[in-house]
Amino acid sequence: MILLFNILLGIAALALVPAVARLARGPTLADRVVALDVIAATAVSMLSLLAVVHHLPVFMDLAVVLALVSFVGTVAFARYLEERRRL
Amino acid sequence: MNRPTDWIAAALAVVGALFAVLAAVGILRMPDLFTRMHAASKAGSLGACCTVLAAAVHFHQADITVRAVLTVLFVVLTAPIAAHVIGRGGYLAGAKLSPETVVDEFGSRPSGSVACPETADTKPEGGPPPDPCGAADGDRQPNEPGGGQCPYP
Repeated sequence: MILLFNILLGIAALALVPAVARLARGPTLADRVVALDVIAATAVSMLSLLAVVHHLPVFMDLAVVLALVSFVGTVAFARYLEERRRL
Repeated sequence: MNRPTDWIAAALAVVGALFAVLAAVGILRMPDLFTRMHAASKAGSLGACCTVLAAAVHFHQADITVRAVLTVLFVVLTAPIAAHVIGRGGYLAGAKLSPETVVDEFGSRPSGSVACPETADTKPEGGPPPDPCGAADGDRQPNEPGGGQCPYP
């Protein structure tokens, strides 16, 4: 069971690679914001998998906080984009 | 794997990790901002929800379950809002649409700007895709409610 969750943790870490590639390459700021959103969602997944692997339920609190903070950051970036009116 | 709920947790975790990978691949492979946002908002939030629920099922404690359900509720409530706000901001900032785009209903683009497949076929000399998609800011400003001048220089 723990081995399965370890493997899934590796798979979720592999999912970070294309997202970081889009974050580095993304032609516009909006693409980078979307990539950051995906990275935050993947980090929430990895935190809950880590909580299972290490038997540390504290990581679930971190997942809640990360979901909150990523939403606020995304909305702030989007407001900035909308008011700047250029990419 | 001695309890029956372990199988549920394992299945949820597998689905969540695979959807996380799917979101990341989609964000790398999709052609323009809006399709990337589509992959990110739906697959990404579903992956996060599934893995958080898997942890809740695995721990089988009341406080962890409350936190997990809170996280899922929050993600489900805010992912559409975040996607909408990014899409609106990107569109207003002038994000290019993919040449395969069929309809553009927001309407602040010039009329007839949609790069439909027929016009793309009849005018292959690079006219339709760059013209509607890459319309300069000056072309689009008069159609917006603010008039010609941008209040944020």
